Formats: sequence, structure tokens, C-alpha cells
Amino acid sequence: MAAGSTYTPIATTTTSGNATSVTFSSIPATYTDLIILFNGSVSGTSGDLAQFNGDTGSNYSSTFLRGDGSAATSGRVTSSTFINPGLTFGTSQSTYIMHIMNYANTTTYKNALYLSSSVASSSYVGAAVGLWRSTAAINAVNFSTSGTNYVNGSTFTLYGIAAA
Amino acid sequence: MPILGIIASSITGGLVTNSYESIASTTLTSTTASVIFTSIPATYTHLQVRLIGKSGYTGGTGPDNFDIRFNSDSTQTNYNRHFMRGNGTNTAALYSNDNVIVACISTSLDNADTYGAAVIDVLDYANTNKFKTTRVLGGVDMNSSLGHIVFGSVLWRDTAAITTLYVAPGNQWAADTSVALYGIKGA
Repeated sequence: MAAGSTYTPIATTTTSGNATSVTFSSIPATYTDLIILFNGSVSGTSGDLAQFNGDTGSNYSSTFLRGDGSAATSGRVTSSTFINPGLTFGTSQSTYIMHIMNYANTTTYKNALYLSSSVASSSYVGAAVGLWRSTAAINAVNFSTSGTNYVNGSTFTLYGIAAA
Repeated sequence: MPILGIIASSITGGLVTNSYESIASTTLTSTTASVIFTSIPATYTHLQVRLIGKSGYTGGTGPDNFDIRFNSDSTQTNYNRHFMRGNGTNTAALYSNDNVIVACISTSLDNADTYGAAVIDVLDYANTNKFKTTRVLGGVDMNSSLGHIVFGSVLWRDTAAITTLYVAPGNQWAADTSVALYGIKGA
């Protein structure tokens, strides 16, 4: 793609009806990176999980660094059925930005970088890296919560960035 | 209730903002010592570098580091960096008087398909009154073997406008490393 303006909004979802998952599908391969902005909350104290292309196998892992106001900790989740960035949210407002790097290449495994914050008393500010051990181009991203559901009005916005 | 029906391909005429622009990019087809973007125009307010990377290092497994330089200034002591790092077990706060971006790429001894990733923001890069501050979010995860997530900053103590940006690990970039440079406009 030629140099020029990019950071293109692809799709936005605002949750309703106590949604338990959100899926962006048929994502075009015309960008270089994907960016997802989440702004919302979940029922209970829980996190947000991601899968690609409907793959429910144990092909995901993650490493996170987080602070809860008292201490900084780091953890890992390996051979998981989803990326768990370890950035627990609460029922108060939470946000994260997720960078899915070189999502359409068919040569490398796929990385996702997260930066997250939450104002809930039992949650964290943190960063994480996730891995999907697949060289397939990503054409769908599914989010689900380890809690019961997303609080109505939570938003997911998907952008595409195209390199020159 | 799951929410489905977000069919991205059904959206036509997607709105493209005019404040974030692609300047240049490269995907390496062979082992290469460094990636250098030159003649960066001063027409933006901030720069962003986005990369997936693997080093050519064969002396051990990852994570590996890489250097960032501005305007060909290779004097490490003209830079300072601070990082927070988590490896899944421990956390660390790192400081050094150099230009090293730590622990976020894989090496040639790691799984061939596993690359690290980083997003680097270079703030007010064309301003001639300020030292230049760079913010970094990076990480590499290799499932059962290791994972590192880093967040930090690099300061270049120079007021010159940045026109050249260099990134390189100590032992070359491996093929399929991909680096892209973007410009972000101010009002």
C-alpha cells in the first residue's frame, strides 16, 4: 500500500443484552497491524480473553507485568486456549489498547501487545504480550470474559494500520 | 449472549483519519545489520515505529535487545533509558546510560516462527528546544520456554530535530523482521 493516511476504523461494537463475547470477523488482510481499544467493564472481577480465527486449541500464551497499587508482579499463562493478558478488570471502568502486529503475514506466529488500566479497587495497571502459535493470517478476533458478561455499554473499536 | 454480526468486510468507505500517516516500512528478506529510516520529514509532531523482530544471534536463546539511534549518534552515553520488565516470575526496574531497548525480540536459536514486537513512540521529534523522549512497549512470548514484557523510555539528550532513525540488534536482524515508521500530526 502506498504511503499516506492510515489508522482506519474498521468496526465498533457496543455491548448490550449482557453479552458474553464479541467477535470481529471477515477482517480484511489489507492492513499491517490491527489495534483494538476496549473501554468498559465486566461483571465481577475478571479479565478479558482473546482468540483468533476461531482457534480453540491450546495454542496461546501470554506474559504480563502489572501493578495493583501495592506491588508490581509478573506472571505467565502457557499452552492456553486463549490469550489471557492477566489484566484483571472489575465492574468499574477499564480500558486497554491491544496491538496485533503483522496480523496478515503467513510467515510468523502472531504477537499482541497490551497496555491496560482499571480504576476498580481489585484491578491493575499493566502491560502484556500474547502469542498465538499459528502462521495463519488473522481474519477474526473473538473476545470473551472470564466473568459472567460484559457490562452493557462496553465498547470495542477495531482499527487497521497500513504500512507503506 | 454472544455478540456476532460484526462483519468488517461489509463496511464500505471506511473513514480514514488524516493525522496518522505511513512514512516508510521494510520487511527484510535476509539477515540485515540494521534498519535505517533517513530523510524523515519534519512535517509531523510525533513518530511511531512498529516492528516485529528477531535477531541473528546464535549464541543463545532470547530475549534479545536492540539499539535505537537518532541522527546517526552512536555515542551511547548521549542516551538514557529506563525500563520496567516482567519475565513471568520476577519484575525489574532497569536503568542505564545507553540506547538499548531491552528484552523484546527473539533470537535465531528460538523457534523459527517466533518474533518479538515493539511499538515505539518518538515524541516531539522535530522540536529543536527539547531533548527527545521515546516511549516503548515491547514483548516476546515463547509459550513454555520464556516470556518478557517491557515498558520504558529512552532519552536522547540532544535538541536537534530527528531526521534519521536507526534500529539494530547487536547481531543483525533476521529475515522476516518487519519495521514500519509512521508520522502523527498535531493540530
